[in-house]
Amino acid sequence: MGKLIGFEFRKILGMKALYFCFLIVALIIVFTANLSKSLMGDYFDPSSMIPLSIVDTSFTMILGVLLAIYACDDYSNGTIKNIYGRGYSRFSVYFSKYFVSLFISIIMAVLCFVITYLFGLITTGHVELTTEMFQSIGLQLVAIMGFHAVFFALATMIGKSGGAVAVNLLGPTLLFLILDLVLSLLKVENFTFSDYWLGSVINDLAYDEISKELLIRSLIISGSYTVVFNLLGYFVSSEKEM
Amino acid sequence: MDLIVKTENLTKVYGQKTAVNSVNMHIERGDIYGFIGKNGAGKTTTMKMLLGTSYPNRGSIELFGSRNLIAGRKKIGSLVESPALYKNCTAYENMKRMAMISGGSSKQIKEILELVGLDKVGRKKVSAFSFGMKQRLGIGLSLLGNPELLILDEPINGLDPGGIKEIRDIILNLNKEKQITILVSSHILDELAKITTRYGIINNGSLTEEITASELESRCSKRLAIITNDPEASLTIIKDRFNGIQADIKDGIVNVYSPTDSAAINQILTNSGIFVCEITYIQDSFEEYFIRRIG
Repeated sequence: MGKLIGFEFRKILGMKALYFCFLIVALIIVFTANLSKSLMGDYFDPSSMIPLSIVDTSFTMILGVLLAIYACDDYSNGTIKNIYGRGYSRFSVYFSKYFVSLFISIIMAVLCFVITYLFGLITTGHVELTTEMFQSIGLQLVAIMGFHAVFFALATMIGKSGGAVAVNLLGPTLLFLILDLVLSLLKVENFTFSDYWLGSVINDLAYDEISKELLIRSLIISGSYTVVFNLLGYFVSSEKEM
Repeated sequence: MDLIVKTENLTKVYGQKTAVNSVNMHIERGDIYGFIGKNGAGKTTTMKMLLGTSYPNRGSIELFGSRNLIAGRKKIGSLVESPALYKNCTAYENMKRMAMISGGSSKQIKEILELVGLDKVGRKKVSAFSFGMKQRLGIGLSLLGNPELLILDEPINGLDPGGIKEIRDIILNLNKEKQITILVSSHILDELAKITTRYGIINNGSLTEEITASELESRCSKRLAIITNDPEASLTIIKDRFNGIQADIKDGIVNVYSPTDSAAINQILTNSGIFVCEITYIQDSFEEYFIRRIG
C-alpha cells in the first residue's frame, strides 16, 4: 500500500492541472478579497472573510474538475491495467487514490483560508483569529471530505475525464434542482432536498453561527456522503473490467 | 514439471457469448508459450483473466503453483492490447513511476531502456513516440521488477520488419539470458514459430491443443511436389510402381505424401518417357497446420 501511495503522490504532483487549479483558486481569493476591501473601505474585516474563503471562490467546482482529471487519469490512459496486472488489489488501488486526492483536497482547502488570512494581514496589518472561526473552518473541512467523496466516486465510476468533469460540475447541482422541482410540483412544502446537499451545509457553516444543531447536521450529512459515495465508488471500481 | 500457469475450466461469458470456454492451460517454467487463435478467439480475454483485469465466470487459475493470485501477479510483467502509458511523460518518467509499484532502481531503468532501444530519446514525450517506440516502452515497463513471467499480447502488431526482428530478439534474449518464461500471442504465425517452444491453439474460446514446437514440426505434413509434362500419367505410374503410396494431383502438380525416394521416382518417370520439370520436397508451414486445425 505504501508503494502505491508514493506512486499516486508522484503522479498527482506531476499533474499540471494541480498547479493550475491551485493558481486559479488563489487568484479568485485575492480578487474577491480585494473587491470586498474596495467596496467596504474602512469597514473591511478580514476576520469575517476567512470562513467565507471556500464559499466565495467556487472552490468546490475547481475541486470537482481537479478530482475528475486525477481520478480518471489511469482509466483514460489505460494505465490502471498496469497496476492491477502487478498484483495490487482493487481495494488498495482505490484507497491509495482516495487517500492521496483527499490529502491534496484538504491542503487546497486549507490554502484558501491561509491566503485570505495573509491577504487580511498584509492589507490591514491585523487579523483576529477566533474559536468560532476555527470551528467553522474545521466543519467546512469535514464537508469538503464529503465533497471529495462525491467527486472522486463519480469520476471513478465514469472513468473518462471529459464526462467526469461535466458530471462533477453540473451533476449534483442539477440533480438537487430537479428533485426540488419535483417536490414543488408535488406540492411538498416543508421539505427541500437542497437542504441535504453539501453545498448548502458549507454555505450555512460559512455564514451562520455554529449552533449545536448545525454542527450535528453538518457532521451527519458530511459523514453520510463520505460513506455512501465511497462504498458506491469502490463497488463500481472493483467490478470494472479493463 | 514446474508449472508457472495452470488454469482449470477457465470460462468467461459476456452476455450470450462465451469468450473463453473451459480453458485448461499449462505453461512450464522456461517456456516461450505461443498462444494462437483467430481474432476474437479468446486470447486477450484469457490473458486479462490471468492478470486480474477481467474476472472469470467459472474455473480457477494457479500462478507459480499457488492460488494466491495477488502474490503471483507480482512476479508477472505484461503488455496486453496497446501499451498503457502516461502520454505527457517521458519514457524515463513512465519507467520511474512504474518502478515505484513494481520495483526497479534507476540503474535497472536505464538498462531496460537500453535493452528496448529507448535510452537515447531524452526529454521526448510519449505522445510524440511512434507506435513502435510505444510498443518497446510497453515491453520495457513489463520488464521492471525482474518478472518471472512475461505476458505479451500481440507485441509485434503494427511493427515494421525491423521492429519485428528487434522485439523477437528481445524476447529470445529475455528467455535465454534471464530465464523469463513468456506467454506471447501473435497473428504473425511464422514470426511466432521462430521463437516458440510450446503452442496453445485457441478456437472460439476453447483451447483445442497444446503442443511443443518439436511435436508441431512432426505433425506438419511433408510431401514431394512433382511437376511433369503429363501429371495424370505420372500419378498412374507412381501409384503402379509404389504399392500403397499416397498421392494426388492439385493444380497440375503431383503430390506424394508417403516417405519416398525422390531420385527413384525421378528415374521411373524418366524411364517411362515422362518429362520431369521439377521435384521439390515441401513441408507444410506452421500457418497451414494452424489453418487446418481451426479452419
